[in-house]
Amino acid sequence: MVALLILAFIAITLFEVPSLIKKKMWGELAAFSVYLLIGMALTIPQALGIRLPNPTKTIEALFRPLAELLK
Amino acid sequence: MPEKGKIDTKQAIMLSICLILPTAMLSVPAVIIRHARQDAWISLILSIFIGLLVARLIVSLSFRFPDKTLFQYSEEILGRVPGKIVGLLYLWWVLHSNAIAIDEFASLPCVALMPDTPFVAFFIIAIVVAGYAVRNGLEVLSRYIELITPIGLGLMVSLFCLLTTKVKFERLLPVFDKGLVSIVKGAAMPSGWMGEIVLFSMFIPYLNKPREACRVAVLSILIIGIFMVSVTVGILLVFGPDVSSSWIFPVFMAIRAISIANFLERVESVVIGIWVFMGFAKIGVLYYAAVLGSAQWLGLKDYRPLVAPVGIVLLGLAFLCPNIIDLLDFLARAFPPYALIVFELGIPLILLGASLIRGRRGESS
Amino acid sequence: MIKKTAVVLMLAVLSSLLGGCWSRKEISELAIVLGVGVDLLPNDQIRLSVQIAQPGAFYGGGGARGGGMQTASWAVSAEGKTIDEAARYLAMRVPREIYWGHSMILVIGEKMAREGIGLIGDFFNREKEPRETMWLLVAEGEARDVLECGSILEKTSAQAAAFLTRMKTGFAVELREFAEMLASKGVQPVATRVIVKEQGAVPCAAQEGVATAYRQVEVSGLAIFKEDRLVGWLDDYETRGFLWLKGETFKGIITVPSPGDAYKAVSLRLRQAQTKVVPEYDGERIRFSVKIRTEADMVEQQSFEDLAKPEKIKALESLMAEEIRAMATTALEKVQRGYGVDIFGFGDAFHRKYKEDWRRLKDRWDEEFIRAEVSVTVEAHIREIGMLTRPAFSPEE
Repeated sequence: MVALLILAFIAITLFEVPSLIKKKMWGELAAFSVYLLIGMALTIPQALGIRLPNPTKTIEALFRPLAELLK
Repeated sequence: MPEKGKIDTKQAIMLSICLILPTAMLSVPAVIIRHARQDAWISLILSIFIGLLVARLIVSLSFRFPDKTLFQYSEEILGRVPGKIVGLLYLWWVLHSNAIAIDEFASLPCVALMPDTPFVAFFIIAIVVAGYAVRNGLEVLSRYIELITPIGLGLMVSLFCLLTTKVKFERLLPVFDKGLVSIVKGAAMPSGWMGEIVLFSMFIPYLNKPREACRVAVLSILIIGIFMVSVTVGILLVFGPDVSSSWIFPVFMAIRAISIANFLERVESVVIGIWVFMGFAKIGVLYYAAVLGSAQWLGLKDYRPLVAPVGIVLLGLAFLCPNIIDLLDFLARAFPPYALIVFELGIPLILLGASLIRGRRGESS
Repeated sequence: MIKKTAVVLMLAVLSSLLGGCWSRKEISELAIVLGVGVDLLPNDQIRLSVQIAQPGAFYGGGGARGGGMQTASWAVSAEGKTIDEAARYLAMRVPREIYWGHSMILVIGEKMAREGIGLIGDFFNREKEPRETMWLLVAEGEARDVLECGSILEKTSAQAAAFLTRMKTGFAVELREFAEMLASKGVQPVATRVIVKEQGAVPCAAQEGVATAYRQVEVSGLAIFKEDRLVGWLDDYETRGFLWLKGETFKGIITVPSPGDAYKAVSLRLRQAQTKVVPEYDGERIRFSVKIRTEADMVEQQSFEDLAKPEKIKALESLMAEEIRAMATTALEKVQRGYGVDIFGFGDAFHRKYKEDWRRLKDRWDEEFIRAEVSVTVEAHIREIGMLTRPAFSPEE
């Protein structure tokens, strides 16, 4: 599973990065890398079976008083 | 400007419909019915007004800043840093909503059709197909939507017409049974959905007739509203409030009950088809908003390189959802206040207020 | 070049995912269930019986090919604590994957029904395959017998029972309707009764000149529930009274004494019927006035009297109204005084009119129902009289 993910990352990088470098679109490259890093941080641990903190729970905690009304 | 495509009024209406309706159609009616029972249709009418309010808000904002999307004018109104923060919040919201839409998209086929197939398979299919459309630009996405929306809605309406033999009008009586509070509670969830029209502000600059933005927003909210009311009333007329509120996918179950002349039956696979095609559309629209929003937020020239990594992020986010109970509970309870207060009414109101104050100052100087 | 490599890599990733066709089901690997039966055994285990179609017997001529009867179905049972557990044990005996989606009937054994259907209803609603449009039947006796008996006209007893129910000579209940009645406090559920007994005869089946009777299903009468528990039965006549009060049009004949000759009878075939239940509540007493309007055709008469006259038809109409009233009152008496459960949906009618009072009364509705006064008024009309005016075989006047 992880191997497949890494393969997918390599494929995406190979697909996008060379043309970005060629066109000197450094801003795009930076955004691309940041998103890819976030994506890796989100997917690889989960593929390894590590539970990540769920942001949905934070939102639920923030809006608990109002959410209680909708029971 | 990263996007050079233009869409016409008809495409814009369908785009806005696909922004909201696909996921609203399937599981929202059960939650409304749970609160308001046979008065669910009144709740829905209330939510239409909320949707119209939000539509009105974003259209007036867009009229003040033509050629600019939500991410661009929030910076212009609030200044650089607060504007960026607002943009970041919206980016998070769009990505998160899309992850939820992907979760919902996968849950119906997973529960009703292919229990042995892992969720990830559906996630990947949805993201790859939607991503492909997004990478090809707004025009391709809108053309896909223009093709699929009339077919999807038309099929749905005709399927519901097949249910007429099982209809009992007494199931809608008595009106106002549970009182106003329950009706308002029932209106919360559909309002949260209707308010997603706020993302239409991402598309207003690309209309070929920007003056029609108001008409587009209002018409699409009305179409969605009428459609949702008919679907919900249809479910109620066939099953009554007690049974239908206990289902996760009431529309699917209602269509399962079709049996005409003992041979026209088992047509629910059509619903799965509609769900899959419309689901791609919704995921695509949100995906596009996320990608274009990120590009504009960072001031990039092209959004296309971001499509693939955003897809990976979406996959990761969609995978965070532990089970369907958490998902449904979040959607029914925390999502309406979260989406409505912050993103659909709160920030647009602040933006409009700030721009009015600054606009007046601008005129005097 | 790099782009091409990337595309190939992506294809490889995608196709490795497509390798698993997880939910594939070939039709030849399925055991198609036609009917399900549930019984409660003395040791508190649930016995799940299924009737599985033998697809070979369904092609073309089917039944009597090559002189011998080819069996069209196979009935098999397994036991477990829950339905799903029993289904797992069943899977050890059935060499194919069990497919529930074509099940036409769900038969509940009497003992199971008396213990409570709530114990087993979840499986048939929560699982994706069983459909909520299947007919719910309650067997007098064991549910397994219904699935293990045969049918002469239809291929299997499950089909026979389902088709009999579908003809709506009595009251037919789909699983979803049962769930709706169970969920509402204003109506108690009912289900169709099914009986297995020897009936009809197959001439020359076993021996020349000897007709053999087969055990087959009969669908008649009603099972009455209080919440999810069976409390009693209504026979065929009372069931028709129930249908009048419930306002369900059914196919049926009403036989009344011939006007002017009480020893001979006239039969009337129902065309349509409408029932209106009007509740009245003054804060203390609850009254229901049930107004029945119906139309029928005169189809048979025994006397030689010429009934094709307006005044005779009027007399016939009032006799018919009287008969319908008697049917309804019999059913009402038995249910209201005998069982004390509101199976007619009077509570729902009350809820629709007095929603504030209903909130107070709904939790003790059955007591209120027992005390309620019910008046039945019938308006009957006769439309057609068949192909004759004067009765057949009548002598010259």
